[in-house]
Amino acid sequence: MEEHRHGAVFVIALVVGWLIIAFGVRAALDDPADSHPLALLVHVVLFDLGHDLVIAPIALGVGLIVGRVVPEVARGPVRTACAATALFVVFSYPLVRRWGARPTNSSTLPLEYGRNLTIIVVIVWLVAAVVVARRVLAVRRDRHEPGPGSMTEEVHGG
Amino acid sequence: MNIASLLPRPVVAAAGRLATWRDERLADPRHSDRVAATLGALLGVSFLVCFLTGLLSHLIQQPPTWFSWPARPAGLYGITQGLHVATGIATVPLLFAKLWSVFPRLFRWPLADNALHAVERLSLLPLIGGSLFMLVTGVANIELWYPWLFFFPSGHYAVSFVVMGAMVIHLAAKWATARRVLRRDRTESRASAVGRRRFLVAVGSISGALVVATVGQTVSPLRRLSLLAPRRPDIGAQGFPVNKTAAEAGVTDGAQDPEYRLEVVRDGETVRAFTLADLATLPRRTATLPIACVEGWSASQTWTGVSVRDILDAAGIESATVGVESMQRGGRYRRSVLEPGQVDDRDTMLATHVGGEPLHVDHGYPLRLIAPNRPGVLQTKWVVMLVVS
Repeated sequence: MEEHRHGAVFVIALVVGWLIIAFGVRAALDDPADSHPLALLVHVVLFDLGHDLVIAPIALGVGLIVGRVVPEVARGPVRTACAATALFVVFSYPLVRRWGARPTNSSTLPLEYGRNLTIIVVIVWLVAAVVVARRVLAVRRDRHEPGPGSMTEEVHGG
Repeated sequence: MNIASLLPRPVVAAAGRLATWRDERLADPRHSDRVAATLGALLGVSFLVCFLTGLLSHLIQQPPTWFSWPARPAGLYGITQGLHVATGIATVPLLFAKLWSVFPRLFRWPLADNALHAVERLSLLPLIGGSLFMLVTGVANIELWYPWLFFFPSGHYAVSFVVMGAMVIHLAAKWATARRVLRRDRTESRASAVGRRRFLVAVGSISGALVVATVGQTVSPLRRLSLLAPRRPDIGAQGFPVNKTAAEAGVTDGAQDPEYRLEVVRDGETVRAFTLADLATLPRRTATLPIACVEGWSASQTWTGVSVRDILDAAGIESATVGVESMQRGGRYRRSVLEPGQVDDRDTMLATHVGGEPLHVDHGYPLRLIAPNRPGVLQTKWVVMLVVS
């Protein structure tokens, strides 16, 4: 394992970095009515915990399941499509539910986001299917014409 | 003293198993130092762009004495905020990819090699939590959804410094490693290189797709591709978006009051009051100017009205800083300030028309401020008073 040694530059950066952090904390404390410093702290900590205890384990778990149930040649595209789908769904969920829409302002959230999200997810999986098809064809071609640098080696990295 | 010697054996054993799992994961090219460094470099650039453009917007909206924002070029503010939002959105997949890639490193054993290394690792808490905070709250803001107690700009501003400070520390800690691993590695196997590249291409593709799905709210030609844009520059009263309607501001009746007057006030005294008919006798000004929102959307319109400079001239007032006040009784943006440089720009006007039609009440009828190179929230609507100082 790599041994971590820190020189003078790191110590300077450490001091500068924590001074900048302190400036941000002070900005929050100077404006408590608007900033709600405690709420900010709680949110930052919750995002830390939420990532480490929820999001990352789910992502690793999905990756593990895909690794077990999906043929090797398709794993990369399927994992990418899963990640893209998750991101698009999470990104657009408040839009689809129209949480930010204001009844008297028709210019807020003006699109049909549920339909649009469906279109995007379908495109994501179509692209994944095309990539898988190309890889399958490449693998078959390599089986017939094996040679240096064949695609069968490449798919291990996908 | 070795920290491990202080802990119960089962804890040490569990930590050892996690360390083994971690080492297995790190053998995968997607969890390699090189991928971490590549994504880290991209994140460094994107967070810096977001920080600088966000700080700029903060300075424009709450200018300290040393800061002055020019009136030209007219569209510069819109470009900076479009860049801010588009870069922030592009950063979302990059950040999650980076966190996924380096997650196994969390389970390092021992937790730290020395005190400085421990401080470096502790600095990851504000970096990761703060980065997620910035992106999640930023996305929620453009989606007009505020499920929290704090005022979004204040929280976003304060935490941005926390993230940048933590990033300085992380950058210094990883600089040497990043430089080393980003050099071309002739010993890397072909399978490893392909796996690494495919992962980065996949992340870049998701990032690009997310930007295309939203950037049409700023880049008008792409609006039909932007299926998830929270705003469309061509949708709203008179063909462009409204931030706050007259009903939301509680000015629907006041805006249509036949007794409406625009007052020019200095030292608490009304210097002159203008009816709409009085204003119609002043020179008309027409200009195509963008209305650019900090939430990332912008729309160019052709505005017609009376130059603020001409109104002040008619009231016998020379160079001045001008407070522009709305008839809305409350709200953070009921008043904005024009510095002398902005006042003297002839395209800084109180508009009565847009696209050749009288202003819709939701766009500020009877008078709204429209000025070049200015945040949308400072383009005060339903103007009733110019306060000269």
